Amino acid sequence: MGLAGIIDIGVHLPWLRLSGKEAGSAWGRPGGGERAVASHDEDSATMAAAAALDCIGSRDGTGIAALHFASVSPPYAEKSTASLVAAAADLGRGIRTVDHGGSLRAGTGALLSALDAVKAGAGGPVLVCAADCRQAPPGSMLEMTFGDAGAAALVGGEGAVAEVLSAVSLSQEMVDTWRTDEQRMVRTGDVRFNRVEAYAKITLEACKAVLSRAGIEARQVTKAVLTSPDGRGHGAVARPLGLDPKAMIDPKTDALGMLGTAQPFVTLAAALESAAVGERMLLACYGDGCDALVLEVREGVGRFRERRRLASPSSPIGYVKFLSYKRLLAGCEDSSNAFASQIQASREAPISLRFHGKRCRACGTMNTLSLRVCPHCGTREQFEDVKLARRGILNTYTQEHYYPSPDPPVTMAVIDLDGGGRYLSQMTDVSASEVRVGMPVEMTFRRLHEGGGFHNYCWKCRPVREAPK
Amino acid sequence: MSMKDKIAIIGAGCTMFSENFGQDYSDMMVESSGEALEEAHLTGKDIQAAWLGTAFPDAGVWKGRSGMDLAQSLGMFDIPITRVSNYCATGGDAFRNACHCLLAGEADVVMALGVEKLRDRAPQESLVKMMVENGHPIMQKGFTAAGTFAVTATRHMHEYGTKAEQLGRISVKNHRHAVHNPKAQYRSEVTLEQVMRSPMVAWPLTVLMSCPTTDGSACVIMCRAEDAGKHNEDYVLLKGHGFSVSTGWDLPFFDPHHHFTAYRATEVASRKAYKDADVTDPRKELDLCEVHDCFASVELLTYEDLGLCKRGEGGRLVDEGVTAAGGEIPVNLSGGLLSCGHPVGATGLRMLYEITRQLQGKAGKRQVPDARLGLAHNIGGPGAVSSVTILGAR
Repeated sequence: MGLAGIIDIGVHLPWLRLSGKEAGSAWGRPGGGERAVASHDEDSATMAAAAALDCIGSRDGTGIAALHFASVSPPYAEKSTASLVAAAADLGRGIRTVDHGGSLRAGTGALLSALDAVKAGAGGPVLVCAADCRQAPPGSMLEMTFGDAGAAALVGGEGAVAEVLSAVSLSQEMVDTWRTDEQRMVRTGDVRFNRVEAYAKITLEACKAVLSRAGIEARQVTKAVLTSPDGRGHGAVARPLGLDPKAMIDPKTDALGMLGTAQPFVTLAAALESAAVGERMLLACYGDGCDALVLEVREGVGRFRERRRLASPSSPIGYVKFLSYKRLLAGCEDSSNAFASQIQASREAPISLRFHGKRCRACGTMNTLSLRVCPHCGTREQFEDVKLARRGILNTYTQEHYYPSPDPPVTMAVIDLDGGGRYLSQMTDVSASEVRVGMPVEMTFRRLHEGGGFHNYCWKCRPVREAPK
Repeated sequence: MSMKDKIAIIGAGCTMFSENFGQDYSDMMVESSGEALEEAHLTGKDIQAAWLGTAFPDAGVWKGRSGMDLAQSLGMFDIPITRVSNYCATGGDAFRNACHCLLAGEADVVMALGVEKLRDRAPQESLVKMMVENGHPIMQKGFTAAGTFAVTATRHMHEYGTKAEQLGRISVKNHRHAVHNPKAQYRSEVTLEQVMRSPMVAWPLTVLMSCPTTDGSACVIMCRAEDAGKHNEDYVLLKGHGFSVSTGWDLPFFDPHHHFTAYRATEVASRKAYKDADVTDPRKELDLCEVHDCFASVELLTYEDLGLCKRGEGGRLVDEGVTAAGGEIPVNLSGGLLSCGHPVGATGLRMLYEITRQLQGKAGKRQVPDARLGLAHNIGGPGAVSSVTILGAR
């Protein structure tokens, strides 16, 4: 058995934040804190794709052997999100794609599967993506508890900065958090029972077992990533386990919400940003059982320090718009009835999903339309398939006030991509007043409309934003 | 081959350009063709070939998918009738095809008729909905027609310092002109402040910088110049014509070589028309122009495309009143699309109607004294298609 661990972690936090004060005032009561909110054009697939691209960075994604996607709120009940994310991230076609779900433990389940695969000789690193945008009943406690986010972890032997020393999984059938096949909203049972009886007991047991298997004491753990379903219950594990309170990594539930299956990865990324070589980390994740891992920090962890992924820029959203984005406001559903064709979509996937261009071998023009003849020089069928850059400069734009949108006006952007090629797309995650000719933008994979009765995805652009200091 | 002095317009007709709630698609064809036939002293039986321009049958009432809709409405059977569709340049293209038929000697008297019935539906149900529901599932989603033109305005403003107020002044000018056009949809003056403060459609274009959704029909009847006097002594002559498709529907927004500060199709089409008509200094030689101001920015760019001023100086032309009534080269004395509205397939032919009346000295209060040479400019798609026609007095 070879070594296996986490090479890198990518995080996507949506741009929008709902404050507890804003949500509370809608219901006539006080509130505090904030939660991350997926925009109207985001879902767990798009957030996973964003995190996957962040994680892969400048690496060659074609060497990735498998992609595991985990979510309890996938965009399709039947249809693989893993395959969609693999296409958007432009991974090779010869990879294994697996979809995980069922409970909040799906993310660590996917991670453990990836680790097993790497140890068994998967033939390349494995990408684990986890993302959620769970629906909570409006006005309920859960509404401010849940947060939306995506995360991705690249798992492999070589180059791992967090090597897995031991892992333990325990299974536990318990009705504490659920959503039946006919329900849209997540339900939870008795708060005290869920925290003390369902969560804390088995998590404590799994943590003890995994530490013992790694041959270390709880006090030797200097970074602890304990996720709990309500984002706040981990104290009930940390204290009896004997963890140093300073070792606890803040899951930032008060700022982001509980991020579903993405939570352990986001908190782990935060832990690695301040980690030093040789540190021991404990990671535990609950959901109808518990997965626990002990990891040791390796050389190369320094690159996490500069990324500061949790210092993501954000903008407040009002409560009515929040409901509309969550498709919970009657009458505001997508009514565009846009034409869509599964057949056309399959033909145009190289451009519209994988974001490839066709460079003319005769004149060098980078074409971004599905063409057979170069419109610049007239040469027929002499194209070279090229990955388009996912960044560019805004050449020109307009803001459409009459095009139906959950977030009017629609900014339409003509982009000159770095390295060649021009692309037209909507601009998202933007306030109308900040758009300028010449501004740098980055491409982001988003959901466009529901034409044809399926999700139509596309590449949009958004402003390149510096992380706040 | 130059088209100069080979073809004559012997009859022209035009309905009210308005919300013609009391008329259907056929009614408007009957009205516009009736005026044209009467002027040419002809009946429908005398027409030997016809071209029907309707751009968007699907946006309205499913009429205009074929030449048979003209045959049925006007009782003109047993002749070739072709339906023409070339986006907003449909009217100009119907005219061009009719001219080619005459030049080929295939027919002696021909009709080009444009008609569009958009207001059997609410404005947003027709053209906006078309962009939302039809077309490519991804590629231009978010654009309305206004947006596809607004991006050129944005870039022109960026490169040349053109101001939104200069676009606004074009709208003020054209609305002022329309007061004297009994067939225009809007005949009230507007102030610059009203234009600038009217609701935004697609930045920087406001509602009053955008043409309304309109019904209408226009028609011209032509024959070869040598036969014109037999039908109507008050004919006008075709001096030159150019037509160009210079980019595509999607291509301008995906083509790294495309620059958004000019409509190449108009440059190409106007150079051909000028060559036909022996026009070398259009600003001096032309007495008036009807240009395709579907949005105010298009008129401004078109000044430059037509060579009425240098590139980047369109805004100055507006400021100096060069293109206003009484100016050096009045543009859109009819009120343009901004005031007349834009029943898509009819617009190009409405412009020829307007220039014809001016050259006949029959333009009433909007008459240019001693008008001898006039130009009609009709574009389609995102400026991809352009038709430029120069007519001259007999």
